[in-house]
Order: sequence, then structure tokens, then C-alpha cells
Amino acid sequence: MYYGKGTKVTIMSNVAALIKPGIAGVNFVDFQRDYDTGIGPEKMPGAFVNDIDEVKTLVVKDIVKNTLQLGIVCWTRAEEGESLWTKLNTFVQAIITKIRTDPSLSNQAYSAVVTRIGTDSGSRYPVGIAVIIVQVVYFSTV
Amino acid sequence: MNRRDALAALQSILSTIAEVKTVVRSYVPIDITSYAEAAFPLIELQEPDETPDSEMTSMRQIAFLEVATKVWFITWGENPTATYESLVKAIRNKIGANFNLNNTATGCWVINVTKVEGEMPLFHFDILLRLKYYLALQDA
Repeated sequence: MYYGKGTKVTIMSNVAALIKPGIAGVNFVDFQRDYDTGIGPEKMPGAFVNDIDEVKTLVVKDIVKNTLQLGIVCWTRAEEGESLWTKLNTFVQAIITKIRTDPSLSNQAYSAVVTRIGTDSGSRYPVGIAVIIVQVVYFSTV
Repeated sequence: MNRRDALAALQSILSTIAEVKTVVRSYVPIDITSYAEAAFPLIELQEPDETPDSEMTSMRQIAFLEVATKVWFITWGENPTATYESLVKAIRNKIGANFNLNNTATGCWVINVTKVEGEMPLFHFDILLRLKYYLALQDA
């Protein structure tokens, strides 16, 4: 059976867990938060998981279909002699693979699909930033 | 025999199907979002048109009702086919075993079953029934 009856918080928490500790070498992850103190070298590579939009559709009286758009902002840094794009691509690919491998997000979601990926195109070299948009469908009672 | 009794008997008989939780008669399409998950599977009996006719041998007036029943069900499985098939079988069996609708009609036939439609978790399909009964007025 494939229920997908989760909650927004547990879904975001599970996405964060896929990145850290799910991906080896990631030093920082958090969700639904921003850091006004900035991101230092000790938090690289790292990621934020934040919600962008949520659409609720009433299926029957006590079943709501939720379509949640998540934005994963991830960053990494190229050390001397390293290729920034190789590091960033490897990091992004690792996140995508995690989501593809567990689209139910530990039985919390009906589906989770990566719909868009964007990068800073090198404007912040030697730091590279990517944004991954994930569409998650889950069901709830309200 | 009359329309009112035949339709009431049909609703009553369909209500006795073990797999079905709710049977609703409606004059307009129902708002499915007003029903909770516990009410499903749900059969919606839409109020039918009536077609009068006569049989030459007796000149008795007869009427046909074509009743569109919409069957709604919820399944959390990845594929609704198993639930769809078991509901179709249960409804066909029940109609077949109660062919004259507790003597309120001459006959009741399943004449069409549509394919299942919808998206997880709510699906629906239609079963078209034809009821035939002699009008009470002509029995006298």
C-alpha cells in the first residue's frame, strides 16, 4: 500500500535528512529557516530546504490532496585545484538521486519529483549555488 | 408497479451489497466532496428518464427506466483495477439475484459498464441499468 499521508513538516524534515546525513560529506542542512549570520566555510557543502508554494485540493470531505513545491538551495565551494562545476554537479546529482530513490520520502508522500534546477552560473565563484525545485504530492485530512 | 417503488427497491437492494457503504438517490449530480472517506464505496443513483411503451399481445402499458448509477470508490493502492472489478462483480451479482427488484419491476438489466476513471485516491465508473415494469394503471 502506498498512502502518502504525511505532514508538511515531516516531509521537509525527511527531505533534509536525505541530504544530511543521507549524502556523505555534507556539513550542514536545515529546513524552513534562514540564517542572517551568513553561511561560513564550515557549512559547506550545505543546503536549505524551504517551501515555496502549496496547493490544497479537496478530494472528499476528509481527504485533501496537497501539492507542495519545495526549493532546495544548496551550495558548495571549490578549493584550490578543484573544479567548482564538478563539485556542484556532483552535489546536485547526489540530491536528485536520493529523491528518485525514495520518492515516497519514507512513506510520507505519494510522489516527489524534481521539476527544475537552476544555478548561479558561476557568479559567486569559488562558491557555487544551485536551486532544486521539488514537487511533492501528499494527502492529509485537513 | 410504478416508478417510485421500483427505484426505491433498487436503492434498497444495492444497499445490501457488502462492499458498498452508501447509496444515494439524486436529482442533480452530487457534490462528492461533501462525503467522508468512511462513506465509500458510494453508489449515486441519478434520477432516470422514463420511456413509455406497450406490448401488442396484451396492450398493457409498460415503462422503461434507464438508470445511470455512478459508483465512487477510494483506493490507496497503486492500481484501482482490483477494487473496480470486485465492485462491478458485486453489483452485477446483486442485480442478477434480484432481477425483479422485490417484485416492483418486471426486470432489471445491466446494459453497460464504463471503464474506471479518476485519479488516486478517488475513482469512479458508471453502470447503466434498464428497468422494465408494467404500469399499475393498465393492470386494472
